[in-house]
Amino acid sequence: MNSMPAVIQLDGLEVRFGDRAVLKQLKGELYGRCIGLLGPNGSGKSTLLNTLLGFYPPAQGTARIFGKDIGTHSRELRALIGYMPESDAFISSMTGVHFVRYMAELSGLPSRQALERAHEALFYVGLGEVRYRKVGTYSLGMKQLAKLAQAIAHGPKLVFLDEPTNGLDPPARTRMIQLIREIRDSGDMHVVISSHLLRDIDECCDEVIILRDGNIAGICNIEEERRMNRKFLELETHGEDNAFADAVQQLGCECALFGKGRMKVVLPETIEIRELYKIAAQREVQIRRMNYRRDSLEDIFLKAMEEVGARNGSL
Amino acid sequence: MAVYKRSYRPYQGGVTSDRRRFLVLTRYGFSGMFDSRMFTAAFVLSFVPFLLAFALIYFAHSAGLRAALQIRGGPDTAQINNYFFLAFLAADAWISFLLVTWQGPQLIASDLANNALPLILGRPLSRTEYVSGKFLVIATLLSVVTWIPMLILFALQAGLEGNGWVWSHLWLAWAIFIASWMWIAIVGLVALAVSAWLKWRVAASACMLAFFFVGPAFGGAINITLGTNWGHLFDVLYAVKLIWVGLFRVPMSTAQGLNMLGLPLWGAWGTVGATCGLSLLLLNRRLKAREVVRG
Repeated sequence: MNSMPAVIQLDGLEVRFGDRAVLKQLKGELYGRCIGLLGPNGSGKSTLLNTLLGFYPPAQGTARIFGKDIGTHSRELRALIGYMPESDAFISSMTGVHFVRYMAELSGLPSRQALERAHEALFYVGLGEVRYRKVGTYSLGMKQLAKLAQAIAHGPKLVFLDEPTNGLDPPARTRMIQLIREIRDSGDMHVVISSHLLRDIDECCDEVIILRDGNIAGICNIEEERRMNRKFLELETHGEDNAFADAVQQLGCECALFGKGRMKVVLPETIEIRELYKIAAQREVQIRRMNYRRDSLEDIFLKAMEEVGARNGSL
Repeated sequence: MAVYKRSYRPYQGGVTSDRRRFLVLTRYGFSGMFDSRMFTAAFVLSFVPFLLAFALIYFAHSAGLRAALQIRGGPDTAQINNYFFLAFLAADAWISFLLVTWQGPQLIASDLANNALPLILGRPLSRTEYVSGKFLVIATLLSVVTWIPMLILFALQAGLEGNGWVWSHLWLAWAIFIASWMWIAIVGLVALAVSAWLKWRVAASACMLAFFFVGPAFGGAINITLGTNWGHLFDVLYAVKLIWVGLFRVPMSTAQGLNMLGLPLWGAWGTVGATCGLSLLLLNRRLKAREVVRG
């Protein structure tokens, strides 16, 4: 049991639009520094973020952020949260610095500090040189960065990034991911990224919640998964692979052969990789390729999707 | 920390009062309004009637000045009365209406045009505070044009007249204040509602004008077709004038001459109330729908 309150705690949260349940009895606790909200389009990711922000009232259940109920502490929580929405969101007639300052002041910063923070935030995201240009004249990538700047300018404890790499070209996407990782590693704020792009989540997050059709398909601590799969190896060998596999199994490893010298090996904690090289040398087997293999987020995601699909009878 | 140093640092300073935070919206609304030089010029020109009225009151009380200028006619002190202030209010109301028609429609539209509303309402601000902040922009602007100069004129008249004029005419000060605020409420809320529904400024300004001028035509058509006076219920300007006539204690005979007895006073207040209520309802519906951008 974690002694710190969960960053996000979902307690039977249900949200309805009319008769249709969009989020269905969500339960779970998330403690990660960077939490990924993963799911196909229409799975309820943005609805969950908007509910946490207090835009949609829960039909049943509730959620807590840092232990505070979103229903009763909505205003207090909004002061702690920075929000970067998915779609374009800016005031085109304002300059970058004017826009970010305005948003910071609305979050409660005094005018002078808001101006200082606006300059800092724009330099931080890389828009320092264009901060006096009107936001309406920015390129798509610059507008995304301006949205990020306004989300972090007031120094929130938690920042919601809804599809932060939407519409970005590869260099801009790399820059955005790098910024998110820097924010995460600064240790001052938690980040929640909603995305349907596995790569974005994989590169930034240490915990992920997977949604499908308004249900939680899975909650996974990616860091833990990575640690657990640390000794999972893929090998390609040349020579007597059956004899080699037998010897490896006698060593205490699990081993599975896939033909043509390909095999997967799970090493117990006590066994080092050099033992495999020794056995290979003794059996005159060449190890031509050796990879650490972990369940990728894609595997985890697909597994979760299949499980929910099987439960619903749709796959 | 120098701003050009690219690193993130948490904010550890103080925050502003939670209750007064909506005033940030007002301040930014004002600064946006006066970005336009044309509007600033129009705003300055809107004080011309005030200066004229100021001069008239002074002139009416200064026999020496009239003699020096060898003017026999012109206003006398008896003419600085409720009619004088009502006429001044009517002139100011039109000026303020034109100012709001010019700048009012972009107050909310600029936030809706590129989905900035979720960013604003995603902060510790309620919809009510948002509308209050925006309304205060119009209210402050119109106050400066309507009741504040009128009360200055009232004070000038009271000062020059002396002899307890202020006490016998205190009701006039209240009439100025209430009549002005009623006008501010109607024009302000209609402007915000239009601003929330129409992004294009020209269309929004046209809609504002239509609201105040199509109503009388519609009401008149009802009156003629059905042979009744209840069509005036759709005429906001008529309702406003009727209330002003009552507040400024215009005698019944004069009101009848101005065709201002076609509707009972409660009906006029009902029209004003319904206009404000409908504007608030439309505002709420629009803002609620747009506070979240649905994909």
